[in-house]
Amino acid sequence: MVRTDEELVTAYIDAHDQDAFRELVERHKDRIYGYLLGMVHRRDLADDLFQETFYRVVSAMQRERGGYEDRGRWLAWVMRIARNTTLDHIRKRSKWQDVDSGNDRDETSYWEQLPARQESADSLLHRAEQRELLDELIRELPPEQREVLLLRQETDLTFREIGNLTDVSINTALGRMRYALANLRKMLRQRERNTPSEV
Amino acid sequence: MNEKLQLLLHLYGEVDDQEEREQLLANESLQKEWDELQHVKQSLDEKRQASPSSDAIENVLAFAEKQSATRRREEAAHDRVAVTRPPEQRRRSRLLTWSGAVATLMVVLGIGFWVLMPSESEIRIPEAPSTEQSQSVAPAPGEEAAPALTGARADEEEVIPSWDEFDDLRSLRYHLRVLETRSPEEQWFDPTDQQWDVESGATPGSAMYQKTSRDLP
Repeated sequence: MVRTDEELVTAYIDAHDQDAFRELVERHKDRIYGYLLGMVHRRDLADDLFQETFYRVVSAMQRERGGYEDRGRWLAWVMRIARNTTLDHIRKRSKWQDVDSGNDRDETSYWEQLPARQESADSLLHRAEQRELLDELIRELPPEQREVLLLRQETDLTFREIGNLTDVSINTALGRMRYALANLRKMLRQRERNTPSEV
Repeated sequence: MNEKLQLLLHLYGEVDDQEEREQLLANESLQKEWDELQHVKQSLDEKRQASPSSDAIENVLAFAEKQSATRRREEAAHDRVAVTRPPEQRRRSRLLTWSGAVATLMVVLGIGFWVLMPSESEIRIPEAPSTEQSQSVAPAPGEEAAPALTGARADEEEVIPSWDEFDDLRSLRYHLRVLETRSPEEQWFDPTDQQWDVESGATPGSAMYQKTSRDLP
């Protein structure tokens, strides 16, 4: 039987069940990491932010349950922490913008992204290219649109939760998402027109 | 809510109302928008999700375990303090605590008394005049009587301790009688005074006292 997030959280906090916490991390790690990577575009940085996020999450959970009050939606609560952690990083980085190398691109090698199951080389190449292309296009979106897109697409939060998380109404969150998708569509078309034989 | 925004809720499955969706898509412009949005969403869905490194995950899990262990220790300490007992047990526990405290206090006082109290050897007893000293003080005419007294004292020596108030009184009484014998006309006390003979209890004026004085040399 699959335990809910809340059951796992309770098992970890009340019974110190480490397996429960491991299951939580395994269940949501890709969502959280996908958002972080989409925000900072670098794997090493995303790894650091992922750790920092969970350090904050664990510390808050262990504080007499006082830190975790969003009962029933643990992921939304974690994403709020992930977002704050990311914003802290971005604010810090902006202070050092002048000395930054500017090389913020995700330079993960193609081989690191190979999926476990066997696929044809052409298919893998296409998927990798598609991913890189999409990452690049997402990076070009305005920050507000990019954030909503990443939160909805990567972490699976609802638009209402995204609105709460980003302190905007659900309509604003939906509007930003609509613009984000429309802009992506436009950019994809543009790329297709520029390189019709490659895509 | 704007129909285009409503469409997004349907696209992401946040609204499960087939009828409403069909109504929306009946509009041609909305249908076109739906197709375009769905195309982009499909591309995004196909984009394989990235995973954090295994090191990052292990670090997180190790941290969680450490924090959990710390909390467990804190809880255990807290439970020990906050344990509640029934009133009878609490009363007995309090009584035992007080008894223990009193017993400890008594032991400490006993040890302190034993440590601070001077031992018998440390007590310096002033030397009482010995029998020999008494004899040397006694003048020559009393030499005959002195041995008799000394003999009587010698018998008592085994019983009487080395220093005794009674011994002193006897010694004084002896000196007094010696002096009286030497110069009866120069008695320094008034015979009418109610002086007690230590041994017989006779006063100097009484018949018993006169008798006792006559017996002396």
